[in-house]
Amino acid sequence: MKAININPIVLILVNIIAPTMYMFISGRYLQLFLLIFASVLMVMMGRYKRLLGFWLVYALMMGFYTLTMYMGDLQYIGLFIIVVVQCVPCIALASILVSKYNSAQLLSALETMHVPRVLVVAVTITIKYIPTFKREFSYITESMRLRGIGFTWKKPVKSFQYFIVPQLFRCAALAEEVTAAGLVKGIDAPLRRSSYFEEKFTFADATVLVVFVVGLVGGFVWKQM
Amino acid sequence: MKMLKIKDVVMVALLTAIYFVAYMVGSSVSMVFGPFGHAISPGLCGFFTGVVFYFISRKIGKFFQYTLMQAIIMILFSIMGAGYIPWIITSMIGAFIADWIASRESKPAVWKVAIASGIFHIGQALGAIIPSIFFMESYKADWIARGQTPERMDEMIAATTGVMGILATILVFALSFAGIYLGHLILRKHFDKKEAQAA
Repeated sequence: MKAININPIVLILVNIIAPTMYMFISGRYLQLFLLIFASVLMVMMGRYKRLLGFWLVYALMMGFYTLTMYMGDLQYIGLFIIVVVQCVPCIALASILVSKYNSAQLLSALETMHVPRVLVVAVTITIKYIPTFKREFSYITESMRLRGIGFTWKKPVKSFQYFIVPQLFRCAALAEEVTAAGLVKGIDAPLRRSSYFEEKFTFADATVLVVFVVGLVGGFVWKQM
Repeated sequence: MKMLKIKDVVMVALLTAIYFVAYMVGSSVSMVFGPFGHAISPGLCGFFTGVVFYFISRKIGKFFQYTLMQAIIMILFSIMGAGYIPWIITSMIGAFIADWIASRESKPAVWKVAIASGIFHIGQALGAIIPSIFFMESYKADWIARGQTPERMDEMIAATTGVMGILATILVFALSFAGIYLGHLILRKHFDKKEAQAA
């Protein structure tokens, strides 16, 4: 099956609308609907590995939740997990936003939503930086290891300092680089930004949104029954 | 009062990524301590991210820096499917007040940044406290629909209303306030060195 390309706006809209619907429709129905909806969407987009990971995480969390319900002392953790579980389909879709689309595609998509440019730039940078955090962290721990510095509970402030200070100053240096790259590309120009990745709203996008809305309407009907 | 430039926006965005990761870890850890842990989780996050908050104040020091930071966090949580409207509203108000206190001058006193951090995180905490006081039934129903049990919700409401609610708010403020002084302790010498070099 040929993988279809979904406009990132569709994923963003689904993720913003879905959690607010818990206020209006049955939680069980919405959880089940989002699980199926996200799975089908990932199959259509050809993200099979991610789908497998998503189901694995979901199954593990549900298993742990069920286990904690039989253990009085761990019930709090289980009830925290069940709240996180209902976010898992949305997190899976959000992870596609980070992995599949590059910054230019995200910028173009968010700009068509008429979100202020400052916010668009900031959110795009944050989304793209979070996955690199792990790499930055490994650089710091490697440097600490080479200098023979380890984390110790005897000196928690010092240990915390060794980890956080390089991270903060690395951010400051990175900000200079990212800004320079952005300025070269005219990020602060007071004109409408054009892009090679001009994402058009296709029939597939409209179909996905219609299915999503129909599913939500089904939730209202379910609640009335 | 200086306004944010594109370089400042980029730096706030990058630092927010660190704050966001710390926030996720902090709130996950605080859940282990039950409903009261959940109520004070913004304070715990405020304590550990005080250094980021302080760094923003010293490195950027412009109006709207904290409002932008909070807006990014709220958008990220919404995209991840964890958005909750009362929480977004109270958090944004808290962030704006924090800016009003500590972002009108480029190098505000440490106590001002500490108060700003306290207000910023109280804004986040009030997202659970206000609905449980004023809209108790709909708040309860919403979270039961999200998978909580009625008993757990009663415990949550007990931890965020009355004396416990006041205690939680004070603790959130105190922890966030202390977090800034921890940040000051860690970063002071780095900034002193930079200032000496600049002079």
